[in-house]
Parts: sequence; C-alpha cells; structure tokens
Amino acid sequence: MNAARLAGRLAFALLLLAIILFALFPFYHALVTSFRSGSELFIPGLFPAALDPRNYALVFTQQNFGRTVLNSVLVAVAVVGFSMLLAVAAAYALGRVRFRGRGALMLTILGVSMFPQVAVLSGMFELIRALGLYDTLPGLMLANLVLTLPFTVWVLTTFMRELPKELEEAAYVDGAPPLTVVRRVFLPLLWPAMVPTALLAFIVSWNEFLFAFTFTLSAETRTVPVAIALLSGGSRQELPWGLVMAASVIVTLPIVALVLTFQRKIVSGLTAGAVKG
Amino acid sequence: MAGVSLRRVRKSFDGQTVIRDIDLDIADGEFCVFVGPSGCGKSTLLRLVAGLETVSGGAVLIGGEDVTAAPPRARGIAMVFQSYALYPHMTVRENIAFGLETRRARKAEIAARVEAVAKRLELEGLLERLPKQLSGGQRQRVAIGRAIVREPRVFLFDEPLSNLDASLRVQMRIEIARLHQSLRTTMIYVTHDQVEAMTLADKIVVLNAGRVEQAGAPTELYRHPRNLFVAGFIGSRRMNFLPVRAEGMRDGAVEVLLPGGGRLAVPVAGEGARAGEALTLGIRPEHLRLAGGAPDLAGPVEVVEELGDEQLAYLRLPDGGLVTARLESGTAPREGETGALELPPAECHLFRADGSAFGRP
Ligand SMILES: Nc1ncnc2c1ncn2[C@@H]1O[C@H](COP(=O)(O)OP(=O)(O)O)[C@@H](O)[C@H]1O
Ligand SMILES: [Mg+2]
Repeated sequence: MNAARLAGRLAFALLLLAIILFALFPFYHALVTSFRSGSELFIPGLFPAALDPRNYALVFTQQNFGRTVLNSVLVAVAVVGFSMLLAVAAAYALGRVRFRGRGALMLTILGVSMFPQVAVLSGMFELIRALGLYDTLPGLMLANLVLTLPFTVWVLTTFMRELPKELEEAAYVDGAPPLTVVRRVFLPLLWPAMVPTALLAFIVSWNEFLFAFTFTLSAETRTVPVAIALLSGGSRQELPWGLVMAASVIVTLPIVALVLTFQRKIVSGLTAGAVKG
Repeated sequence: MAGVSLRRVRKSFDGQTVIRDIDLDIADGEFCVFVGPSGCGKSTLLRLVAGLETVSGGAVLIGGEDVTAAPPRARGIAMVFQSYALYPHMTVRENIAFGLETRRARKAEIAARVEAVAKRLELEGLLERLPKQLSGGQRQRVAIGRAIVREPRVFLFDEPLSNLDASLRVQMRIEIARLHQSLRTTMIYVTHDQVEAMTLADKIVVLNAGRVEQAGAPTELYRHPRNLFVAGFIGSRRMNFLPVRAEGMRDGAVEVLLPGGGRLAVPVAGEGARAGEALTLGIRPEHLRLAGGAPDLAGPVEVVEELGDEQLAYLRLPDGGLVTARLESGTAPREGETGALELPPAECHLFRADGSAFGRP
C-alpha cells in the first residue's frame, strides 16, 4: 500500500522532471552556446569549458544592437497599449451590448487569426506602402496589431461576459456615467485577465519576424529578431552560432523578467463575494 | 421625496410581451410591494422604474416629472439588487462612498455621510473589509447602506431577502420596516413572498402574467380579493376553494349548495347570482370552525399537522376535494375520525366561473 504510493509519487516526480528538462533544455543549450566561440562550438558537451563573454560584447559592437532593442521595445509597448485599449472597448461592446450579428462578428475576429501570416503579407505590404508607413516603426506596430487583436479581443470578451451584469447596473444606478463604469468597475475586475493577455501580446510582438523583415529596410527601424537573423560570422561560410545565442539570451531575459514580475499580480477569484457566496 | 406613476407601461422582449399596459400610482412616502409568482414580470417592472430597461410603450413619472427617456442616474433612485451586486474590488467604505463620488461630493462630506450610514446599519467595524469577507446578512446591509447614503427620492428593492436564511430574513424585514418609518421615502419592493408583502406594505400590487390583478392595502386584499388569483395568493395559508351551485337569492345573500349537500346563505354586495349557476366558494383555513350543531362540511380527517400553538386538519370531502382548517391546539379530531366544520357565512367569498369575485358587504 505504502510502497505503491511511493512508487506513484516517484513516477510523478520523474514525469515532472522530464517535462522540465524538455521545456528548459533548449534555453540552457542556448545559454551554454553563447559562451563558446570558434571551434569550441563544435565540441559536444553539456558544460562550457570556460565562461567566455566575447560573444556578448560582439553583439553590441558588430551593429547598433542597443538601437535595435529600443525599436523592439517601442513596437511591443505600443502594440500592447493599443491592443489593450481596443480590446477593452471591443470586449465591452461584444460582451455587454446586444446587437445583431454579434456572433458573426466574433467568429470573423477569430477567423482573422486563422490565416497564416504569409497569406496576409503581400496585402499588408500594399496597405503599409499606401499609408506611407513603409520602413517605419508605426507601420510595424499596425501590422503587429493584426496578430495580437484577435486573441486579446476574444479573451477579454469571454472574461467580460462572465462579470455579473448587476455590477454594471448598480454602478449606473449609483450615478456613474458609462466611462466611469468602465474605468472604476470593469477595469479593476478585468485586471486579472488583462495582465496575462498583455504579456502574450508583448511576447508575440517581441518575437515577430516576418512582418519586421518585410516592412523595414534600414538599420534604424530594425527589430531584434531581424537583427539576430542578420548577424554575420568571421567569414561567409561561418554561421555565428555563439553570437546568435548570445543575442537570443539577451532578448529573452526581459521577457522572463516580465513574466516573473507579473505572475504574482495575476490574481484569480477577484470577483468572489460580488454576488451571493 | 416623490411619488411614482406608471401610465399604460408596456414592455416586450423580442416580440414577447412581459408587461401589459400597467397603470399605477404610488404616493409620496408610500411603501409599495410588487408581489406575484416567479416570472410574472415583477423585476422587469421595477427595472422599468429604475431606467435599467426602456419601456416599449407608455410613460414613467417620478415626482410628477416624465422620466421615461432618462437614464438611471437622472431619476433620483437607488436600488438594492437580489444578488447585492457589491463592487468586489472595493472595501465596504468605498462601496458606500461610490455613489457620492460620482456626484463629486466633497471629501469631508462623503466621509461624514459614510460614517453616519455605517453607524445606522451597524457596519462601523466592517468598513475596511472586502465584500468577500462578509456574511450574507452583512452584505445585505452594505447594499442597503449604499442605497440610503445617496438620499434618493425613491428606493427600489428586488427580492432583497431571498438569499438569506429564515431567521435573518425576519430580522432584516423588521430593519427595512424601521428604515421606512424613519426615512419616510417612497419605496418599491419586489418579492414573491406574500408574508413579506403583507407585513411591509402600505400598498400591495399583485401581478400575474404582466398584468395588475389588484392593487390596494394589505387588509383590503385580504378581505376583498377581486378574483380567485388574488384570493389564492394573499394569506399565509392558501384559501380553500369549494365548487358550489347557486340555489337562488334571499335577503342580499346567495344561497349555495355545498359539496356533501349542506346549504349556506352567503351575503353579497352588488350584483347577485342566477339560480343554477356554478360558483366557487372561498374560505380561509383560519375562518373554519369545528361545528357545534349540524355541520356545513363533514368528512374523514386525513392528516393533522401539529404546530404547537395550532393544528392544521386536512378533511377529505364527499366530492373528493380537500379542505384545510386551522384549529386551536388540542381541539382537532384525530386522523381517521370524521371532522365536522362550520362555515361562518360572513367570512365566505364567492367567485363566478370567470374567476371574478362577488362583492362582500
Ligand atoms: N432581458 C430579457 N430578455 C428576454 N426576456 C426577459 C428578459 N428579462 C426578463 N425576461 C422575461 O420576462 C419575464 C418576466 O421576468 P421577471 O420580470 O424577471 O420576472 P419576476 O417576476 O420573476 O421577477 C420572464 O418570462 C423572463 O423570461
Ligand atoms: Mg425577479
């Protein structure tokens, strides 16, 4: 009886370990590789022979990597900001207001995210050029919104529908105009849903490659994924793995930091106690 | 302070009519209770007064002013919801203050008024708590506090006590009655519980399928129900209904033939009945008495319920119907014995086949 339970626990622990290894190994490998250079790259081994920071220095000297990171931050922050603003407004309409064609509209929004990115690429290119936004950061922000809005709207709408209708009505009876209701009642209650959604939107924009590669040209508007792809080695034949991995580690760290910061703020059950409990 | 008037108010949802041409006047300071079975449109009617639903036809007046098109915040009302609807992310203090902040009251004034309300409702120790840290009764008091702090012209309550347990419900009922006595503000109160309606109301409005069946003082509805529906709905024990036949008129009374063959002359006011007409006789359980002489109704006692201070005897009549009699404790015949009952004619109600009541003197 006890032995069986012990065996069960052991099996569970092993399974957990396997999952953790599977999830973390690629990142560990990147970390190790980023400290290797030259022929050392081709020596297999789980541990680096020496911690050689050369690659990290090289990332910043070979091109204007600081500018690139700044571009990525600007684009991601703007995309998150606009996504959240539009998604909250849309969620209010789609989750709270009864109107004809609401279901069809929801499905269309979801449908947009089903097209592969390549399918919308050429059309989007024409659009961006027509707007005079080619090779600018606003153009990239606009393009990335196409990727983030479907899921931010969808998630927030679902969450908004779950909020008791009486809360909104109580606020109206209490004399609050609609904008105050959104700001003082909906936003605080939507917060637990908005934090993870915004994080996801940030990550999507931060990692976006295809639009950034197509819609920008100059080094001044380059974002991180593009810059990493364009890193060059000592010779034409050499792929600079160490350099690529160093750059990847640098740009992954902010995301890890963000998630760790906000995970404690993702509070659930905030609506408990609103109605009969 | 203000009265409320409804003028031919109609409401339909997706072509389905829920409120049908309701005319109603609620006087300034009156405690008016909407009562009726579940789904009859009580909440909808209250929400029309609040402005949370828009009318499909007719007009709503508050304080003589037409507010049909006005949003809730322009109507001078406060509402207590069945689910309380406290803002879960705000403390009790913030919940109560919210309605004052939206009106941009001064900070010092808000603080003073919140304190005063908290004192009145005994919420002083709870001001910094979140709603989820409160019991059901405390949440209910916060919801009431949130309403009274704004000093509205009209209070609206939608089944405020239905989520509480029985003893707390009685206690809160008394608190609400006291509140009305001291504030003297117009109140509209929705319930499906006729005991709440009888105890609280100055005026009861009985609703059924979107129509007003009868509106009036509790005793008026108890003594003079206008039809079978109101007679069956009002009263803590359901009225007994017996099928009878009119034999004729004599001295302002209708002579009827009771199930089992007894005869009774029921005094009526106004129009009488034709001989041979099939009628329904209504008698409340509390008005039935054990027969001293020849009984009006007799039959085997099926069940006796002992309630301590009183007994409820259920008699099976010769025609198969069941009659409930409320009797003094220790006086009821035992189960299986034959019960003999007397009907005081002055306490009887007579109804025509279409359900309408004969007038009573
Ligand atoms: N928003 C709505 N949409 C459609 N039907 C509704 C809506 N609100 C209420 N109804 C219908 O109106 C009728 C009366 O509802 P309600 O006023 O809530 O009854 P109650 O007397 O129990 O409070 C019900 O049949 C209900 O289904
Ligand atoms: Mg209701």
